[in-house]
Amino acid sequence: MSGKHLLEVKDIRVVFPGKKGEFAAVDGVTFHLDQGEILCIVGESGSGKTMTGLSVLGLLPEQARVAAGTVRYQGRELLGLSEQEMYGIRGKEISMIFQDPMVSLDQVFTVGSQLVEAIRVHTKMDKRSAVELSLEMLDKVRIPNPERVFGSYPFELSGGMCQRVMIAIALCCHPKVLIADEPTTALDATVQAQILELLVELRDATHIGIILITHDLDIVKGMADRIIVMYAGKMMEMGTRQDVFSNPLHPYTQGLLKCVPTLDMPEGFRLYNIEGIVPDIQDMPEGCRFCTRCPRAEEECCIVQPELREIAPGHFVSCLKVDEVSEVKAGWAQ
Amino acid sequence: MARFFAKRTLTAIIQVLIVTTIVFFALKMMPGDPVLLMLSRDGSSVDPAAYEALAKQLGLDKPILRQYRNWLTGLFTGDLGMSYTERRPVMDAIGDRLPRTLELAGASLLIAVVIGIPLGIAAAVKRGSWVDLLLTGISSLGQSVPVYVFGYILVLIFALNMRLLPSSGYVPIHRNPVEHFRRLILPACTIAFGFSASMLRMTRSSMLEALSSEFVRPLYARGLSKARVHMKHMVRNMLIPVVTIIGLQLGALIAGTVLCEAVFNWPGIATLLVKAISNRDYPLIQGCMLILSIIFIVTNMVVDLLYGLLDPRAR
Repeated sequence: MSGKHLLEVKDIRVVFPGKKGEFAAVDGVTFHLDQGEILCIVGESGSGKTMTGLSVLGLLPEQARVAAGTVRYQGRELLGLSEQEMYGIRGKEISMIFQDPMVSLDQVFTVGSQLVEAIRVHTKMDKRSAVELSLEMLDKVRIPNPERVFGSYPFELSGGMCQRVMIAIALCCHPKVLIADEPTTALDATVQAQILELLVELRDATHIGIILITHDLDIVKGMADRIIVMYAGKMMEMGTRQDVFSNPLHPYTQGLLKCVPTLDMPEGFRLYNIEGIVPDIQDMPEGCRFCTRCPRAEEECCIVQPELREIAPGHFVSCLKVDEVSEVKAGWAQ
Repeated sequence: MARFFAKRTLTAIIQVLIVTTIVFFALKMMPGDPVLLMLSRDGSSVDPAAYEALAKQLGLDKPILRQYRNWLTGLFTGDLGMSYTERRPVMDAIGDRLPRTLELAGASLLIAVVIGIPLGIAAAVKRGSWVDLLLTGISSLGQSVPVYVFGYILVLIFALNMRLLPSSGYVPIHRNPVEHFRRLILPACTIAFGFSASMLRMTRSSMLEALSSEFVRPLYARGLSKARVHMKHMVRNMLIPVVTIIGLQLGALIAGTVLCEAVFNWPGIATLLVKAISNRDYPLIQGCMLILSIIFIVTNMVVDLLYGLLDPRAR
């Protein structure tokens, strides 16, 4: 990875205090994001994808801390910046939207006042122009009747509207990165599609780089330029959409893809599921964190930690058996 | 809003009527006879003829329902009757005493708000630190020490030992404003101690709740500073429950002034009421209760309206 990326995260390790000392909720996560790119981080709940997003903005829960790694934004190291300096990054350079839009806005202030506030903490704009920009932003996120919504309280709006407002607030200062943490999980399916469409549209218009955190493979398939697959705090695989969907190398990714039902499945088809459950995050196996559930695990898998290796240009996998696995895969293809 | 206000006013009037009715009949069930008390002040035996005459003069010879009706008619014409012991209209006696009690309660409320709310915010923001421990420790003390104990402790320290302030009494403001306020300090602080303690606790827990709400992280994600998140967003959210509870506590505040007025010899409506009860001065008791319940109900109404202003969801 060269130093010219918009955002570069390297070997990040987020630890929480636990029963037996600290445990890592995120371990060795490494990726980069370029302008205009949509990078999806996909994984089950508890896989560390949200913590990865929060660590970029320095918004981890109080007990957690980043124990190792670097986060570079346009070449500038963000970890170790003071809170004061982070105020200038959040919302201005890197923004974030959250899972449940209905509870992500302050309920006792109007949408307009929250927008104007977000604009005015980052710019020297006077109130009048901030109001104008707010209305413009509401229009940009396709809110019908921006004037009315401007004066509304969040509880008067639907979930989809709230998420649009959140996006308007996130983008009002023209950040270059947007971290979207499960932005549609709490919304109806139709609204979900509209919000995702809006994100793609905004990306096309502003070339903003988006990190989309989700557990929904359908969303990933429809939107991602590149994909990171996470499991139990570790990266299992990273590659382009093509890489991950057409040539998944990691047994976990392969299992995950087999779990997605499709319309052309024969009747009575039993959907695949990955055997076992995610091990306790405080009591992880010494080797590969997936070894307890992996169909291909061998003895050494449970002892040796696999490293993230670049198997093909841009395609990274963290599995000891990966060459073998890919041969098997190639065997299937024949 | 006007409709809401009209509805609240109507219920308030009904509430006042119910309270005074209960008080009226409760008084009649209370042992003790005002006529006897008035006539036998010097310990002599009572002449039956004089008894009859006085009872007739006070209207106490009539059936109880008739007495109640008379009182109600008086109420609606603005006449609360004559006090037996004060020997002047009840309205006048209350008019003298009420402002003093309101002044005392107002001063206590002001001190309690100024001390309790900021310290409650500080305790919540520094949760778990020694600041928090110290403040919550003092506040449990403040909540558990009764007014008459704390009042005398203050007198002991500031009046008797340090000789900074007068121990008790009252000087009308138009006669000597400086002395007036010097005599207000100790009683007001006495009530404010317990009141600010409970306000601190309410503020603290309400602030902690605000701080743990889901929208805090999104506020930071916009680039808002900690000071801004705390002082604007958290405080505004925290105030909604706190204002409601303050309103509910105003009743306790008025009850607190009864003891405090006694300790500091502050001639307010509470001491008047206590005296009226021991003399079975029916019109005066009725009048005081009427005024106190009106105050109580009106403050609650104001709190309801304030709540609507603070919380857009309640409008």
